[in-house]
Amino acid sequence: MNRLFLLIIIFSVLIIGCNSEEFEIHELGGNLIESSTVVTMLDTFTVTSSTVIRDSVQTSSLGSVSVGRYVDDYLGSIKATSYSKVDLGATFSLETTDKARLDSIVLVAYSTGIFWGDTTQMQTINVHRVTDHIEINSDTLAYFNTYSLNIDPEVLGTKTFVARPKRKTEVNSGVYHDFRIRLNDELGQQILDSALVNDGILSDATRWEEYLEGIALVPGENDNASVLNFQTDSMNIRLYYRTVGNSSGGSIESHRDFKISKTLSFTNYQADRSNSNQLGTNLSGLVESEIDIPSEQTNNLAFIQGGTGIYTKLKFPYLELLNQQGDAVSLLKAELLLYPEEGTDQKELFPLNKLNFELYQTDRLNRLVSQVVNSRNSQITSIYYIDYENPEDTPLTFDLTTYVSNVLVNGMDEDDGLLVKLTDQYNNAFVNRMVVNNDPNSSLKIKLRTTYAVQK
Amino acid sequence: MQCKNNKLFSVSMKNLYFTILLVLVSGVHVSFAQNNTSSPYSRYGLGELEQVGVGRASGFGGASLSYRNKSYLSIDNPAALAAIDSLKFIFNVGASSKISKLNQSGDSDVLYDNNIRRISLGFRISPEVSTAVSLMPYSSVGYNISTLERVNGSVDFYERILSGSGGLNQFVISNGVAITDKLSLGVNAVYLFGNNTSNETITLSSTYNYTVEELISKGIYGNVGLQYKDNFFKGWDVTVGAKFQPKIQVAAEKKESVTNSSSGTIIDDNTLSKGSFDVPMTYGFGLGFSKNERLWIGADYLHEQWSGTKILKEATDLVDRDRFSLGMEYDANDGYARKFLKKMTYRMGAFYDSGYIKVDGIAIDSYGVSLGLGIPMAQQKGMLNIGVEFGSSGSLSSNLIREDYTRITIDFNLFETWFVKRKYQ
Repeated sequence: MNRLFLLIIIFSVLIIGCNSEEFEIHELGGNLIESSTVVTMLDTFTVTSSTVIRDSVQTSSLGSVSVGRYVDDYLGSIKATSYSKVDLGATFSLETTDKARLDSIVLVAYSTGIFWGDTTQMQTINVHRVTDHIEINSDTLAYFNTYSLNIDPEVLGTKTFVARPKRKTEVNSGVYHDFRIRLNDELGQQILDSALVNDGILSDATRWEEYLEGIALVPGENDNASVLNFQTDSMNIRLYYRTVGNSSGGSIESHRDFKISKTLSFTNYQADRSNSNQLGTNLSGLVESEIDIPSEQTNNLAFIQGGTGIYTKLKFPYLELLNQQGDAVSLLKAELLLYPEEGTDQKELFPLNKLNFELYQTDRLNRLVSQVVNSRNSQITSIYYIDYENPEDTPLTFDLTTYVSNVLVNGMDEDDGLLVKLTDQYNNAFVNRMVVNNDPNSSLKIKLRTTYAVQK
Repeated sequence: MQCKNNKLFSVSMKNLYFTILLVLVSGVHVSFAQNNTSSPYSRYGLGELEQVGVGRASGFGGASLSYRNKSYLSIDNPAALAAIDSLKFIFNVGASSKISKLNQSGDSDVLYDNNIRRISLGFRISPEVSTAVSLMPYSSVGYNISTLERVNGSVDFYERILSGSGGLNQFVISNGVAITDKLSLGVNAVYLFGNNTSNETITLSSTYNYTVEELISKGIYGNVGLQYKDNFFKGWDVTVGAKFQPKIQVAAEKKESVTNSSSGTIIDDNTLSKGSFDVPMTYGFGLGFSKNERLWIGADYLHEQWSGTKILKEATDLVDRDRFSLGMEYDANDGYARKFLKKMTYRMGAFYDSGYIKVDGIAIDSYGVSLGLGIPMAQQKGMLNIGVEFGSSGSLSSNLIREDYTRITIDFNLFETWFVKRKYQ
């Protein structure tokens, strides 16, 4: 009898264990079962847009600085000036017996390969001495886009040139070609003399600061060319000199580099949007961060620009009505689509391809309240990839599923909106700009495309 | 142990403990919570109804209304309980394994389902009255269907997974009473419980929407049966069986919840309605002829009036079910058999079932033939009953599904002699 019960137990376990079908999905019979949900896409929500400005774009410690001036069709003139501290480095001294003679003193810089604007135009960079103290301390944690320093009006060196920001040392090399501006020999001679007499300027950092705090790279006042971007890691002031050798009698070429400080380099961006000829009219009022300039006042356009701190603000006034589309509205997908205004992406001059954007929740005061995140709670960013086959139809897209779901569940405030900006650090501190179309009559206006399920 | 003196009783108690242990160990309750089937038709009505005929009846087409046997615990006709052996405690556990091939417009799919069919315990409590308790499925829901569909107003596609699970179970207390030598009556009191669950998952990108709809029931219904047996002709007996069940409302409620993964919240969690569903008015007749307790031939007609039934106040579009079955059993053992094949019982049968659902105007009917074998265990401990049914249900027209299946049912029919004093072991 016990054996029999054992048999039954084994048998029962087998029976229960063998149902494989729970993990399999089959296609047959789909027509026989009425589904309880309907899935619909809706992209006709009103999205209102405006342009706002923020003045706290950090431009220091980024690894690069920008210099140049150009006049944008939409955003007026943009002028980028860089300020950099020049580090002394180790003590520099020379023996009088070396009979050192100055050869030249130059600013050596290397491009990052990034630029914005027309590089076929002549442009000028003037090097000036910074007279203000450059320091990051507990009061000044970083330097921002609107910050500027006093400079000595005397020009230490100047160069007028046609920029070749993508030029490399060799065709397939990763190393950019150097960019040089010769500085006044007077500056070089003073440094060389100090090194020979060993007067302490070149051994004491404080005295060196008093002598040369830093340099500013200032673009030509009326240039309309390109804004260039230089690596701060490799930028330096290089002193070339010759010494007489002890035995042979021939001269030996030497140089000494004074490196640019990476953390104490920043870019100041100045914009003049008052020109009445510019296409983005009415942006001259963009002076305070609390001001919204609706797209309706700017030819149904909205703007995003990095270094000048221009963001596009979006609002979805009727979004909560999605809940009234049916019974138990369940959002499956929400996508925000922003189309650049036709012709504003110019591959050569104003390349939008691969620019990286992000979203922030904002309020009535246009503050960056919090990052917009996805379902894994990480920040949503979107890289704009242009389909050059069909450039007009390529939108910048953001997955807003989590954001919209939260709005549907928790509701939203009338003042709640989103800010679209370039991502921090690099892009946001340069002058890249996107002009967004939001013409209510255009099929390429800003869209919020939602896909949702409702119960039948 | 306190009852050591009462050996008579403790032996059977021991077996009872075994039985309880068996139920727990094998996780039968798990299996009952999840009645297994793989038919999209199980979405309709109350699910795929449990096969008619338990145990040995699954070897002869379920034509059991007029069948009676001293070791057979009938659920279909409780009056048959009056015939069980007065000295035996009878235990039944049965399970089935079904291999089905679903065919639809040129495509096919093979599915496997295993199920506990029933657990029954029964014995005679007085010379006239026998009783049995049974746990078995009433209906099963099971399907898993995935389709790719287009979003309304968009070029995007989403995946829709429809799945059903669960089913209704019944706990049946059966009593059979011998009114006279010829006439016996029976009554089943049934507690019907379980969940019919239908799920729908919509997936787009990485977001899904999950809808669960549950029909939860807990209610009581019952039916009565009758058997009348008399001499017929030259050693042949005739048995007439009948069954009646009134239309009864079983308490039920319907719940729905909708969950969305992107907000991580339950959007909707409602009891849609509370009320009842109808178990249909049912009647059936059976006629059987038997000779020398070894040969039996029978036929049944069963009618279930599903039309007009309601599920939670909503009229169903179910249709009346008619089931015709024919069966026979032959016990090859004349009492002196030595060869194994001569000790066995052979069964066969056939049925036609019109079904209780109609899809697009087409009845989802089924028909099949069955073969059965009863293998006696040593020392009269019981019988292992194996039934094999080859059947087909549904239709290929109107893009419907036809299911061709083979179902093997194994039922252990165990006896423990109760009221005889045993030797010490």
